[in-house]
Amino acid sequence: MDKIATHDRGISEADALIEKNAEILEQVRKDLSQQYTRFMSRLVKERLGLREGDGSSVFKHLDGGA
Amino acid sequence: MDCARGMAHRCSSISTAALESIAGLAPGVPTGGTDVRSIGGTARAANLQRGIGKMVDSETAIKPSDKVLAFEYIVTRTSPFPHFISPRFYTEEFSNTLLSWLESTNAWNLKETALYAQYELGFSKVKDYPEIRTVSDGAVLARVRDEVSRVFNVPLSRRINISAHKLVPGQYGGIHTDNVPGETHRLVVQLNRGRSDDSGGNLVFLSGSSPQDVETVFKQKTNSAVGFPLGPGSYHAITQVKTGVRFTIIYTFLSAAASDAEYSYFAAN
Repeated sequence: MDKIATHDRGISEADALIEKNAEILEQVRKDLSQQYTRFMSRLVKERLGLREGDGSSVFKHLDGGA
Repeated sequence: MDCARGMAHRCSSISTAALESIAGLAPGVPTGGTDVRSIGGTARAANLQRGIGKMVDSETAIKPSDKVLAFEYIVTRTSPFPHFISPRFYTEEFSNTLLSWLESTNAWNLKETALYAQYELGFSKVKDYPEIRTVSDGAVLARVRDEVSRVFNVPLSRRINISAHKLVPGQYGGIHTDNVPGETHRLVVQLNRGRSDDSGGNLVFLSGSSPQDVETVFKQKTNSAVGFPLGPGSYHAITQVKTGVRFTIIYTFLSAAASDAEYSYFAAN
């Protein structure tokens, strides 16, 4: 019984480390989406040789000013 | 980022068979969330019922006698890729000592790329740290290596890179895989004074490269550890820190492809 209790304790402790709150999970997806957008924007700027904060629009450059 | 040498962003798919091979799981063992894997022992049906796929085997429960490691109650999971959780990695005393040192040291180096922003610290480059020197002790690392090797049923190198990361509000790690030839497995240990569920800085596992592929979000209970093999499917990320400071210790197991010129490391006995 002690061993089974040890199992249960380990499982329950590990299970408690997994986030299950639906609101927080949704917020995580939103945060990662924002991070992904920033990453792509910065990546494109770096490829175009632009600097952060220079006021240029990535899409303006990509579209030739359109 | 948890990469031992720097960022490598490889987004590509991986087959189930490949993941099984990476993790040492028996072919045909489903990788869905309800699957269970024992740690070197006989699976116990009583542990199959909980729905997220996990298993502890008391025959191999880790009760280290040294003053550094607890590394107990290892629970393995298979989705979105094989990994394990240990609710207590270090002894309580050592985790407090290590956290205090992380909070007080000025050895941090800021690293910012398009994909991530964080402070980093490589233990091989920190010379004067007597109070935490045992973190890189060969016998301690051997214990870590042996347990991780047993969990994933693969031989692991005795060369282990140890680093620490500090993320302050605004810092984050984008979705990536760390799929580089020189690194095979990673172990991440959380250390903090308590972080609320909405403080940001969560380690996230994903089934793909899209933010919508989120599968597992780990809470940041101090002294908890997560280990996983690195490969083309090991998508993970760190959400942006909103409040407080996020500290982690990162163990990276190196492969034969990792050159001494490229990597710093400690050797397990």
